[in-house]
Amino acid sequence: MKHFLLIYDRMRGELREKPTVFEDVSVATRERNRRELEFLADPNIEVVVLGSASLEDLTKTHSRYFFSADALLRSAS
Amino acid sequence: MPIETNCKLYCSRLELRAPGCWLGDVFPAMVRVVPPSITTSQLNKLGERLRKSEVPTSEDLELLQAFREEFNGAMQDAYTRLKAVAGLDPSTRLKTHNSLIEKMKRDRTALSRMQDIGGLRIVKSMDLNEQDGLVGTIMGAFTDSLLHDQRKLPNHGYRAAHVHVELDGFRLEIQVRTELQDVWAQTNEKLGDLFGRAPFRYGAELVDPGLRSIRDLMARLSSDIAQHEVALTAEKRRAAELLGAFPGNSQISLQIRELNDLFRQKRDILVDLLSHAPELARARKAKESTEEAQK
Repeated sequence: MKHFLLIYDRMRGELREKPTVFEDVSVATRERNRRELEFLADPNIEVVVLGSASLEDLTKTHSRYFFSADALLRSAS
Repeated sequence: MPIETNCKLYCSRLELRAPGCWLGDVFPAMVRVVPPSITTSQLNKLGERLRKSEVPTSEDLELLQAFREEFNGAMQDAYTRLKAVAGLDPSTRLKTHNSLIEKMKRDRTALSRMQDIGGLRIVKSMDLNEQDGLVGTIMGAFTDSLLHDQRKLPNHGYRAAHVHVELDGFRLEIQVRTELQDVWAQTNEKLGDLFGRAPFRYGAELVDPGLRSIRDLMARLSSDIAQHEVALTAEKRRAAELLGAFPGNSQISLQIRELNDLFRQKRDILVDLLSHAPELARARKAKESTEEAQK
């Protein structure tokens, strides 16, 4: 399993930066903790680590993070 | 009583957060150690501080992070187990601090009682029978599991099967969704991101009539998807019975294919309607704002 660090802007409905991939969950967690402190005062920024076999799998189970509102649904059809 | 059951009872009483709770000390046959970073009382006090604060202090955030990290091991174990038992490739996530704090503010849930700090999600193309079967397989893979069937009791339109399991002393939530259930959920979450999570995800009051109509549309689509899934499941069962009773009957095979096409078309229509919801919401909100400005 790989671990992907995402920084997501809820108001804009999109990622602020490209996902960072980690092989080791503890390294991913440390980096997430650091980035959470960075955005502590902004409740609209989600800092999240998602685990998955691949980024492709993740775009299926957590598509909200990866696509704009329109593309999100069209990807499922 | 088997030692594992006994141990689980002991741990659930302690909630595995009493300092110095070494399973190996109590039950020497067990070698796993669950490191308690914080007691239940300290945890709930932390939750109260987070609930009452506008912005959490960095010290409290670090405490929350330390507590949350303890779920990593159990979550990885659950992932490995689901892969081994059912060949599943779920995704995993720890709840973000924003979501944890929002939930404590919204529901006044004690931090120590939260069921979904660690979560796994499975999305599959399947009918309701197959979803039930998958849920059964998942529940069979864990000693302690409980089904929260939000298909029978939708949560503000949200439908899915959630299996709560206890593993290594940690409670985890495994979400099992069909593709249509997932498309609805992702759309509604997106609407929540763009126009407010409380009204779209938790039924809070919405003043804007344009957005209210979108929320109503989402509620109708949730019902439509439920009806579609029930009908599709019944049809698949009937088709299997017919094919079993009349093997090789080309007329029956043709009718089943035609019905399948109809179901696919209905599904595409539902997805298409959902795909327009966020844009429609944007347009209606913009129209409301313009009319408000003109008054």
